[in-house]
Amino acid sequence: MKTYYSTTTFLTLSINRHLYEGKHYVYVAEGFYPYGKRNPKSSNPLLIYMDLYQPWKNRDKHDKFVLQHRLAVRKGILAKEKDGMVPGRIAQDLRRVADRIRLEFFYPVVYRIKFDVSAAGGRGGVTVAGSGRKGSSEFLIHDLDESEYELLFNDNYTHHFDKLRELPGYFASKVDAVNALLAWSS
Amino acid sequence: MKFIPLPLSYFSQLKNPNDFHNYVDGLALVDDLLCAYDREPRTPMYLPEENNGRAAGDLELINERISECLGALRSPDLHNNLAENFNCAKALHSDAANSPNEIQLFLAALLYHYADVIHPAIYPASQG
Repeated sequence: MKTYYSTTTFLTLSINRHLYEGKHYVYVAEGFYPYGKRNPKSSNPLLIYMDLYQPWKNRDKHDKFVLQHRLAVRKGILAKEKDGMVPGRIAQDLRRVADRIRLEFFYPVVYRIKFDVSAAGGRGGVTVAGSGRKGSSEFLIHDLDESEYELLFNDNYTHHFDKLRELPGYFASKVDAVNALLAWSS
Repeated sequence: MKFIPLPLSYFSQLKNPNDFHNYVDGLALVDDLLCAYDREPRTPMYLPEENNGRAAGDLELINERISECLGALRSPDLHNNLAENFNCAKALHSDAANSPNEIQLFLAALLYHYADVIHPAIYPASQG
């Protein structure tokens, strides 16, 4: 059993919880700072945290990393629409969220996950991915459940997040959930 | 092999929300195809569950979805621009080992186009 970390934004966390039925699609690395494990920047949770925190702190909406994250959220929406997880109308609203939601939602948060990747008795649904194929400690979990991780650094107490802080199942429908995000995406 | 920006005169065609979203989705998928070869390599993200064993970043996986975006675009100008850029991206992808600088310039131009040109043209109001 080892401990893995993944850094994302409060926006992605909210979408996973409230629109993707509490299933989190996460790339994880062994250690928050996987120094010496051949992880490139894109699979280094500490460096991703810094890349997100600085533009959030500086309120730099033109930051390259933030803009790439907006495109990455769009890629997730494309996949989930294809899978049937979100209907077309909600996917369209989510695209607007990806493009327009306030920078506040790019505040970084960190998942801490403990699992065993060994073939026998290990967690299923974990694949070596990304730079992991070239020898780093990067894995992909398609369907991380709410009960399988601990959320770290979720300490931005802005009023913008409001009900989106709640756990999956809080909103009566996905329409209600996407409306909560659209409220900050004008 | 450079990213081809959308001429300013075509921007009015982005006012159609359906065309806008399909065009930008197409750009996001083009980015996904090449992002592992960026200056700071990134992880591809487009991976539908039913992928027949294919991994994120797979050319055919992205090709299928971009074809759907192209098929949904009503504006021939947007269609042609996306198709041309996808062809450039495929050529770079197939020769990624010899094209690292070209890929980085292509992706930088794509991001600039999305963020600094298309995005403000469609959403002119400032955001906090």
